[in-house]
Amino acid sequence: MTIPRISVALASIVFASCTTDPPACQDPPRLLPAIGSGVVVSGTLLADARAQRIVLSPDRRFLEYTFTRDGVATTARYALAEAPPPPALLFVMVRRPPPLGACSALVGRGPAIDSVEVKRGGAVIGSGRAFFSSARCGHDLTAKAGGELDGPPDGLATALGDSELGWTVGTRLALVSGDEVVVTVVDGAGEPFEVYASHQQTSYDVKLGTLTATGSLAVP
Amino acid sequence: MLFAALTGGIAVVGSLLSGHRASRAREPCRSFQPVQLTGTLIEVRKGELVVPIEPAILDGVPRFICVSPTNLNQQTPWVSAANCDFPELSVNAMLTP
Repeated sequence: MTIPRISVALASIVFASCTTDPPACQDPPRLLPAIGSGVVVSGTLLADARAQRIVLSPDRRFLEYTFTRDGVATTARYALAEAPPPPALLFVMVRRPPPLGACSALVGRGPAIDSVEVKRGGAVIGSGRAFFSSARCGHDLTAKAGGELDGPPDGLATALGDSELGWTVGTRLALVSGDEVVVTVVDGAGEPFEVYASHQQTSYDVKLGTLTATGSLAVP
Repeated sequence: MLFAALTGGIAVVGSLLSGHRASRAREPCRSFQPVQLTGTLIEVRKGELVVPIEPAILDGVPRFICVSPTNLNQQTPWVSAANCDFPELSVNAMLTP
């Protein structure tokens, strides 16, 4: 008889501890950005901007950012929404298609890449600096790759070999739909390689396509 | 034996529940739910003249800006606007209606 009594008593204590929980949090009120107009007190949204002002409409549907640069007043008008911004595609990545062979078997193998350029509306907007995007075969992740890979085509190339490579699109530039990624290859070995647009220096996010020689691929 | 099993089991359940309660007690309810707005560039004017957007973007005007209250704990007239793609470029402004 004693054991059930003690058990009941202990169970009551546990039950009491449960029922003294603090009440659950209520949904907190939403804290929206203030509306109105005012001058920028600190920071800049673009280099060399002066006399910066912001106007946020009372319905929070539009924002106007006004600044002066080189003596010219410019106003950028934005449509506002609560949806998060699309992730920025800041890098172009190149690698061999799987399955990958042993590192030792890949050393020195083509394609020999000269450059990666980004075109918008037919004009080159970026031909960035190359870096290693994988440490698979002992390369230093994100370390600068061969200088021959940087900049516009110049006839100097580096074999992809056992590495996976990335290029910055440009200084504070992100890829957008319709951009063209042009990969210039020097040798004609016909080795396939995949081209991606990526958010980070070590990710392969949006596959643009597979090439076997110099070619261009569109950003979807 | 049965007694030991029962008390042991209850003790374990009790400690788990009290631990859960303690962790909840350490997390105060939030006062506000800050809302971030995303701005998409729709027009650029130089003076009174409307100009194409893409060259302006290549010239540094942000394509997307992320707008949020500067103070996340109370309503203030301060707002923060940042280039969503390059958050190191941002401004703080005090707005008056």
